[in-house]
Amino acid sequence: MALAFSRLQQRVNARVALTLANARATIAGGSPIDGIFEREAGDALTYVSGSKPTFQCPVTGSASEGDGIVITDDSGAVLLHGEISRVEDDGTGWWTLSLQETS
Amino acid sequence: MPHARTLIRNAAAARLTGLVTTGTRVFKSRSLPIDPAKLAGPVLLVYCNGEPEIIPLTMSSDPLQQRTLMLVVRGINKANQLEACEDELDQIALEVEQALASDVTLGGVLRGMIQLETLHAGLDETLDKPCGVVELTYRCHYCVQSTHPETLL
Repeated sequence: MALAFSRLQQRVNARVALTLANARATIAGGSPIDGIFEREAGDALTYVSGSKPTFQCPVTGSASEGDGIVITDDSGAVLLHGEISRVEDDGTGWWTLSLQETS
Repeated sequence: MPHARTLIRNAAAARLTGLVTTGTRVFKSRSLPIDPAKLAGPVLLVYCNGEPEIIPLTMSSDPLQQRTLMLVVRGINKANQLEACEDELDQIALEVEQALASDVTLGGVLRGMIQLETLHAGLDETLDKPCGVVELTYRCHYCVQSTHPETLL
């Protein structure tokens, strides 16, 4: 039964990525991963504004804090060049990577 | 004539405009968060907090008041690396302290003087780039007649 849930979860995650992906990530020079790139507005320390870029994708390979990451769009244009500041696994096979720009 | 608070704030902002690190990016009376990355570099915010001490120096219906205004100078920075961000915040503090310590009357506006009271700093890594804030609070001592808070004595 657990195996069936696992397979179902993988299929759903793959379908979500296929349908909603808007960008492609290359983590630490590895294989590209399709996922959802967002850049929500955010504040820090009360007085600093900016954005909180994240990349969400199915758990694939490895991703760690400090890994370099390049996000590109369909045309290959770079949307973000930076590194992973936080990796959150939601427990259903889906990652949310918090990102920081390095250039 | 504006209140003495305005005169002091304007004088402090003028004194702090043109420092090496923050240049002309000096803003008064701004409360909304700001993104230094969109303004080509670190910024300074200058504003007046409260006045915890207002002491009447004479016994009359229009006493001479000795007042203490808390002036806040806040440096805001973003950098590609957290350590660089902190180093730049320290540099901002250095330049602000030197500028105000070398002109404690703010160009003659204050008959009293301006003194550094506290310095607080903080760093954060939840935004698109590491960022930080350094906050210097100064005590500005000045005197006015109670009926003329716009005239610094």
